[in-house]
Amino acid sequence: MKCDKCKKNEATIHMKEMLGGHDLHLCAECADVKDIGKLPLSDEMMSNMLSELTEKIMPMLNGKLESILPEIPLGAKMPQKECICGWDTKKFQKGGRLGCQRCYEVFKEFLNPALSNMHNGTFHIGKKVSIKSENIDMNKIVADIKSLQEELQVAIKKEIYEEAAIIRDKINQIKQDNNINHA
Amino acid sequence: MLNKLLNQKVNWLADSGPDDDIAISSRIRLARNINDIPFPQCASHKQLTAVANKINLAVLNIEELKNNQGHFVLNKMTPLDKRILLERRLVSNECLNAKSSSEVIFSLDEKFSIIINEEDHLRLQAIKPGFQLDKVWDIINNFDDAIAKKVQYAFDAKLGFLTSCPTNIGTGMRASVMLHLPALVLTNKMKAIMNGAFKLGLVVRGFYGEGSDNLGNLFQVSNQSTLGEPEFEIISKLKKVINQIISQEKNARQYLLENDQNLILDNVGKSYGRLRHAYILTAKDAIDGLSFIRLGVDLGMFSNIDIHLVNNLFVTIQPGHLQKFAKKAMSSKHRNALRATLLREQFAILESGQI
Repeated sequence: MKCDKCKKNEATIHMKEMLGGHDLHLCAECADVKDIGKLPLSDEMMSNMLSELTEKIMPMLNGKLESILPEIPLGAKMPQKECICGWDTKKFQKGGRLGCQRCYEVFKEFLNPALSNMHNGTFHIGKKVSIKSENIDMNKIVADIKSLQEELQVAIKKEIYEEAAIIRDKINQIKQDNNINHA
Repeated sequence: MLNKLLNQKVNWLADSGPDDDIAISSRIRLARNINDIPFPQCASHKQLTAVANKINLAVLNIEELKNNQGHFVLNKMTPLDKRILLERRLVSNECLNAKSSSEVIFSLDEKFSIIINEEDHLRLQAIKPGFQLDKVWDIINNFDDAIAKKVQYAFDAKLGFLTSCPTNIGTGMRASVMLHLPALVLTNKMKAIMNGAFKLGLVVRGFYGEGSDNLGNLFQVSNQSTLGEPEFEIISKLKKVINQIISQEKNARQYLLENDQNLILDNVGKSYGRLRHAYILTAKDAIDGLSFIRLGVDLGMFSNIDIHLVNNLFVTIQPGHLQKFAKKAMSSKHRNALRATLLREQFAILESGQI
């Protein structure tokens, strides 16, 4: 195969462009001139490519990349709380884990900010459990909607409209899933 | 039961899969808990027994597991037997300190396993050779649906599946692909890759060892975030980045062949010499050596060695498998000698086949 650039020498370096998707075949000479010979090995190219990819697939995340940390901020000022399962702030701080599903409500004031650092979003979008009709806890669904509506108001007040739109969709989704009319 | 496992090759290593020259295996696990029962580390023994019973009943619903399952109560197993399951990736590290009510159920082909009462009530895991996350997702999604028909999961409309650790909340899904990246390691590119992936919310870590430390140039790429994106989106992001890493590895191999062929030849050659002739080999020596043999096979340097045979050796030279092979507990000194003997013999057989 001849070099794509000089069309004279035999191409010895073959590259696949990540985002465009087409192939590039160069001889050693042209690759060197173009500084592409170092392509697979250049830190700069690599991080450029990855950040380009970041912009393409994660537009929501721009600007707060540095804030994504895997650990929960375990500050000493956390208020002492205890869940009915017996789990308390101390145990939570020690292992970063929770005792039962209710703990998510009990510890929410320091858990929720941590969740947004840990994950790419704060609301579950994805697979749902098919709730068996006899097991639907209407009180819980109403309470969920209520708390979402409160968060919606806060988001609107703070003028974070992107988040508000997500919360609104979420509320509509829950209503739709449970055949609740817009009342 | 365990002997049956030991006599068979590890399927996800010994079978062929798409892109399996660089992507060794694809794995997805889902974390689930049962509604209204505290998570394992906070639950009573009685509650955990109830969980185990419920899940065992629900599993009866899964056709693929009906006549074809292995089942162990973890705290009734010897440490060595548990190690075997760990080395075959049927259970996680945490299972080694299992509670009395921890169990593992797996399909005999080792493609699917359920761990009961570890960090969460339920951990479902599916694994396949090569790079095929979509297929793995289909499998695990179906199993998850089958179990959900029989048990009520702890689920919140806002936070999704509720898990013991908040890092798993939402989808409860961790998808990962094991990659073999010797050329990116030789050209010192792994740090840039790790940083880039981290910025995308993905984690790249050495498969053996912690952090950027690695053995055998094996790395695991997985999603960090489990909340705020649907499963298919997490998987498709992972696929994009892994495709990119795979082509970077191919480019780096090409670059080395063009510009520094001796570096590759030297690593492959020395590794072959070492595994073929050594009398003492630590697990690290063996894994690092096998990694370069694997690279050599990929690059067409050993026409008589099947890459899946090399893959399988990564598991059989582990301490647990060695001791089971020897049918006795062994000190590390004796294990290192046995490991060297097994590899010497293996490569001698392959060599004689060539002549």
